[in-house]
Amino acid sequence: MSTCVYGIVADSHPLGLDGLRGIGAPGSEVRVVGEAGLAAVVSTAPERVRAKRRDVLAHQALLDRLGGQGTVLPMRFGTVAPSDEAVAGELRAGAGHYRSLLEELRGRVELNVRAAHSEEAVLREVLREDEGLRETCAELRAAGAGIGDRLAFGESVARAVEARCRRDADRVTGALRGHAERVSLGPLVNGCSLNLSILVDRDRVGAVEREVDRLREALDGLADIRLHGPLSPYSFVAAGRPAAAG
Amino acid sequence: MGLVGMILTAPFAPLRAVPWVARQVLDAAEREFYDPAVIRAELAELWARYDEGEIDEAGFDRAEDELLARLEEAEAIRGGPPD
Amino acid sequence: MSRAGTLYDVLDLILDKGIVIDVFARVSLIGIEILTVDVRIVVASVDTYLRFAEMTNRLDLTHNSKAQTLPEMIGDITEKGAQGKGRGALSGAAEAVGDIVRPKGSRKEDDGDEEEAKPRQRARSASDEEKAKPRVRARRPRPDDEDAR
Repeated sequence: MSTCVYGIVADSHPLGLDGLRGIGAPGSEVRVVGEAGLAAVVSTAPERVRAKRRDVLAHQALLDRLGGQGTVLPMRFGTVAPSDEAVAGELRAGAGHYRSLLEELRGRVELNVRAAHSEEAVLREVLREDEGLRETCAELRAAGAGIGDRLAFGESVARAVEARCRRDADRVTGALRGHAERVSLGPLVNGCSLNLSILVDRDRVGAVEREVDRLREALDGLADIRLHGPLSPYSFVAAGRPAAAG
Repeated sequence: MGLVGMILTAPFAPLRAVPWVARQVLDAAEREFYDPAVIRAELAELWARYDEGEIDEAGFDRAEDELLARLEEAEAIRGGPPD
Repeated sequence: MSRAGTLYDVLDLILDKGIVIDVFARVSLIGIEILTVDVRIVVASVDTYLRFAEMTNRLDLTHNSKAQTLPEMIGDITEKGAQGKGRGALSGAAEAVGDIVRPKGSRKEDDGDEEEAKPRQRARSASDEEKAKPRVRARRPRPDDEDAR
């Protein structure tokens, strides 16, 4: 068995984890490894961790709870150490780095904003705005276009749709950047046009929600905008620890 | 899928090209099948349908295991875990 | 805190971000950031281009031939299109487009609440004859993913 690590907090953190279980079925016992003024929340884990929904939920629930009580540095899901001693060793080796990260993230949360365009609505908008496209479309229809022409025309439409989606995405980012301490743009998964994470002071969450409402209204019918969070700062803990920063 | 779409809309493809085309289609289909981003999207979709109550626990568990197994195979095909 | 209902929406944060300790093992999932992150919103492929050409042609026809105003025309699509709710992926054109038709006054209740009681069909695009979901889809550029073979 090895040790699954969920998050790192300062040892002054309340660590109110009752009622929560770690990964595995039926959930594993959660415990704390303390070292160098830090505490890592861990549980025993099988050798091989997989992204089962219940395990990802357990991971997320632990981090949500820890984040609600103070500052937490979230581990990537499924981070497994050979033993508790190895975890303590890592806390010792990286104490300076983790402490400065905790300080930097104190009182801040991550909010994630995703925009997903309705393809047909964007297409209408592009057609309405671009007379050239409409003309080409009519010409192609009249002349009975071959595959080459249709391909070229389709590409120009696709470019216009992409440009419009990007313009809207940039508009959302621009509007939210003002609220953010830091900004992280994520991969466009699941067909979204924007996957934006922002690090905000906890007391600004309300302002961001109002801003997102305004943006939703402005892009109503064109794009669906979703706001997730407050989340623990997944996107702002810098994946790896620089070896030197011990 | 990219190539499949093209095949259907290109009636003039000469017959002798079929084996080559067929192999391309299989390649494309297989690549899509093992594309981690596609599997990830399917995983998220599966969760969503489970949250919506469209699948029961047992059905969900089986489908999830199958997707996760495919994700691990995809990783084997692409040369081992990231670290 | 984010509810289970929206967890799949932030799955990539949980699986690909967060602290990584190199000496420790990680779940053997391929992190998205390992692949070249495709910043393209529209998939660049023959299939997509031909689909766009066809959709544009259809929309352009409806726009010119009948003397309808934009909202009425969209109304037709809304009836024809599947009702449904966007979820993470590109939202169903029917519902999103339907918003345009709704008179400005009635504010649509917050879209984000996942726990609505009423059962919802999964979102599908309004162009019903399309088998594959025609979506603006971001995808990894596969090494040999050039347009025409």
